Amino acid sequence: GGLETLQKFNADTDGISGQFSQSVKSKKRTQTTAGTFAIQRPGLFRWEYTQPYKQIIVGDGNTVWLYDQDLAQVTKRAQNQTIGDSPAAILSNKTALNANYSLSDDGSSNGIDYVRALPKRSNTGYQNIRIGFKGENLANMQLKDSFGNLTTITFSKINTHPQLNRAQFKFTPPKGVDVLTQ
Amino acid sequence: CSSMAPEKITTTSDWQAGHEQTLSGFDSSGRLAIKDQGKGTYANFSWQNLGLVQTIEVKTPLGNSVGVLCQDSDGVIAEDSKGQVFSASSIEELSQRMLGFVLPFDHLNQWVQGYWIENEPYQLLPDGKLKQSGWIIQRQPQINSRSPHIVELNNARFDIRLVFDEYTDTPSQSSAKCELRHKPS
Repeated sequence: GGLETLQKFNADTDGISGQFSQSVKSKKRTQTTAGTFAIQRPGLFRWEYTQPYKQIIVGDGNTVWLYDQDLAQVTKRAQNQTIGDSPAAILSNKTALNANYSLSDDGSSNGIDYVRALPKRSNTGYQNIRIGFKGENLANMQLKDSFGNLTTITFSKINTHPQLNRAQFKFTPPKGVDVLTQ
Repeated sequence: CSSMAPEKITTTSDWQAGHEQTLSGFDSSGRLAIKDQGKGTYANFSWQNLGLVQTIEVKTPLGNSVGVLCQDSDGVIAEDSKGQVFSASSIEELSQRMLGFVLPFDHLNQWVQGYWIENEPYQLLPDGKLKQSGWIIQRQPQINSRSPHIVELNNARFDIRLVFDEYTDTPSQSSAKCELRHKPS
C-alpha cells in the first residue's frame, strides 16, 4: 500500500524535482497556482510559484527565504529543526516525517495509493495530510486545515535522480528589494 | 524605493470622496507584505468587505489559514488555527496578539477602493498619492478598471504592500454580523 511505497521513497530518494499545480479549495473560492520545485535531502528545497504570480521559497539548510516579486520584499526566518508543514519541508526531511506524523495506509483511488499523516502535536497548521503515490511515483499531496481549506498539490514531470547542485539552494536577494526577518 | 512602474501610478484625479452610497463591498484575495521597523511579514490573504462587516483570512502560501479576523458593529472577533476564539477592540490589537504582527486596518477598505475618508482632512499629492490620517497611500488599479491591483501605504512606522490577485465588487450589507459570533463556543 501507500505506506510501504512512502517508506521506500523515503529510503531511496535523496533528490527530487518536478512541477506542481496547487489548488486551494475554501468555502467561497478555489484558487490555483503552479510552479516548479527541487528538493535535496536533507533539508534543501526550492519551491517556486510561476503562475499566476512569481514567488520563490528557498530552504538552504539554515534559513527559509521567501521572495515575492510583486511585493518586492524578501522575508527570511530560521529553518529550525522542527519540521515545517509545507510539502517541501516534509519531503526534504526523511526522518522528520516519521517523527512528527503518525502514518497509516489510507486506501487508494483511481490508481493512487494514499498515506494519511496525522500530526503528533496539534500545533501544526493542518488537521491531516495525505500523500499519494502512483506506483512508485509521488503523485499528490492533500493538506486540510481546521478552517476547512483543502490544498491539493499535484506533482508532474517528477525526476527522482535530478543532478542538483547546492548552488541551486542558495538564495541571493535581488538588488533594491527589502530583506526583512520574519 | 517604489516597486511600481512610474507611468502606471494613479493620477490625482483617480482618488474620490468616499460617500456612504458610493461605498460598495468587495470580495478579494491576494498577498501582503508588512515592514514594521525592520521586521517583515508576508502572508496570503482573502478579504471580504460587506460594508459594516469585514472578514480577513490570513493564510500561508500553501493556502492553509493561520487565522480568521472579523470586524462588525460589535467589535472584532477572531479564530486561530487551533480553534481558539479571541476578541478585542481593534484588528490591529488582535492581529498582534494572535498572529504576532500588527495589521493596520482602519480606513484600509476605503483607501484600496480609491476613496479618501469623507469628513477627515486629506491631501492629494502631485505624484498621485493620497495623504490622510498620517498615511501616504499609493494605488495602482487593475488595467482598464478601478479595482485595485497594488496598493502601498506607509507612515512613520509601517510600510505595507498589498497585491490583489482576485477582486470583485459585491453589494454591501448593513445588518450582517461576523459569522464567528454564531459559532457555538
